[in-house]
Amino acid sequence: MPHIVSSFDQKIARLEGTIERMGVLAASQLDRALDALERNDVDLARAIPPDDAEIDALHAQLDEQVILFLALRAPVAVDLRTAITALRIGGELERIADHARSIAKRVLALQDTPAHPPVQPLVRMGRTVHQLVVGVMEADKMRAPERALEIWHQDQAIDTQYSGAFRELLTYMMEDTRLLAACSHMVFLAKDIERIGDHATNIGEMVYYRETGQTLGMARPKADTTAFPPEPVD
Amino acid sequence: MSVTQEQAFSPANPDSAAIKVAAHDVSVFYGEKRALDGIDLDIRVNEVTALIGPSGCGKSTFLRSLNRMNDLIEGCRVTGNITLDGQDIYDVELDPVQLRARVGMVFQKPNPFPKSIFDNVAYGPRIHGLAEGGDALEEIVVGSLERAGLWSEVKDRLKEPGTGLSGGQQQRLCIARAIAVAPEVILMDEPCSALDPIATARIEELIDELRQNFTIVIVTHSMQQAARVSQRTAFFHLGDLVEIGGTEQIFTNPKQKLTQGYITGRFG
Repeated sequence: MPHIVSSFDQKIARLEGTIERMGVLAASQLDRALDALERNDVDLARAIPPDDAEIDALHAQLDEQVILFLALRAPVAVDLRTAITALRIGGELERIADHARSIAKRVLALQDTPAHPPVQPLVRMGRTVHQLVVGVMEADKMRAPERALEIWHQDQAIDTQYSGAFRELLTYMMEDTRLLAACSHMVFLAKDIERIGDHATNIGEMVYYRETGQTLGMARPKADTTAFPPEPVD
Repeated sequence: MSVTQEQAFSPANPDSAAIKVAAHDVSVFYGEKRALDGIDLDIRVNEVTALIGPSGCGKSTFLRSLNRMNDLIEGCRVTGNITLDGQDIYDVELDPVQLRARVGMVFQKPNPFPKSIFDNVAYGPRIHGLAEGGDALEEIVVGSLERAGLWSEVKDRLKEPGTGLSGGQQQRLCIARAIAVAPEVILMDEPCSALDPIATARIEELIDELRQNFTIVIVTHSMQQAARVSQRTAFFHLGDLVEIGGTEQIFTNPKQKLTQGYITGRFG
């Protein structure tokens, strides 16, 4: 049902519009970074803006919109949750764009290495994460908590892929020390992708909370085991 | 569409707060017109319970039924059961005047008597015989003015008429008058609607202090005021109790769509 004061709904629509625009930019930046990685396209990697000026400006604009909305409209219930989650979703999208930019930088760094292992596993992982980002922004726009919950669960698959990629890169490093620099860049690159998955999942949590008023309190299922100490050998 | 306490609110620890006033299946009629329909609502001791809802929803009617102010309205009839500490307040043997000493009331518009500031506060203790001698009466008056946060402003002008005070001071004088007879429950019917924001803030601060010693029920049209001063909030609509719950829950995640529509301004 529309608000009795139509300008109230207009303010919320502006918040949603800013978030949508940030989501489109972040997803596009990730897509282009992955294209650059897949095709080893230096020009494309260089074309990704190094300072994220547009998304940073939108983030600042979003913060200002939310602060004014809270100060002037004193929202409650779902409107309050909308304002608070807008702040947090904006932060997550800004971080996604940062990681996408970092991926592009790693593509450039790989150019300075004599050789590197195949990037396809990382590209595949990146495409899966890109789908998560696009999907969670659709869930946001459609106000679909069930869809957000699905994405929340899918992060586990990303963690599994990340653990696999990490171990594979370790084997390359052990086999040929000349690949150490390239593999190190690729480990960081894999971590960037994995972190984007986490940010998409966080957005899913925010959408779920905004729409239902319930937090996804239980710990998210994690399948990234790269930080676990190895089992002792008998 | 009445809901029971159990349906509407499930506190983490339901035994944590004692019930001061319990209303069960309360309906109020003005002639043939039913203003309240089967209300079940418990008021917890030393808490502020806010009653919110659109005009005509029955919240003031419910408030007035808690100290039988409705008895004074011709054609008004109350059915169901309301107890104060387990005692039926509509018992024919119960003296409504004594009841109103235990359940005091503060009205929308400050209504000091056309008497001095001192006599406004001393009036209740005098007629109820609560003070033996002038010193005891003075002690009650001073104590009540202090608890109402008014003493420092009026201590040098106690003989001046209460009607000469500002609106906010008059309302605090009415609160001092209400608490001078040592009530257990204070009912407040939009006590800040005629006050400016500063005077309103003082009253809200006072309400928070008073709840240490009194049980308070407040009717307010200001959602923000309900959110600020109360621990529990009840939403009324068309004579029904739609939802009651912890104030934090009502204003962050109401269970009923009608409540959400009302508090967010998407209503009607």
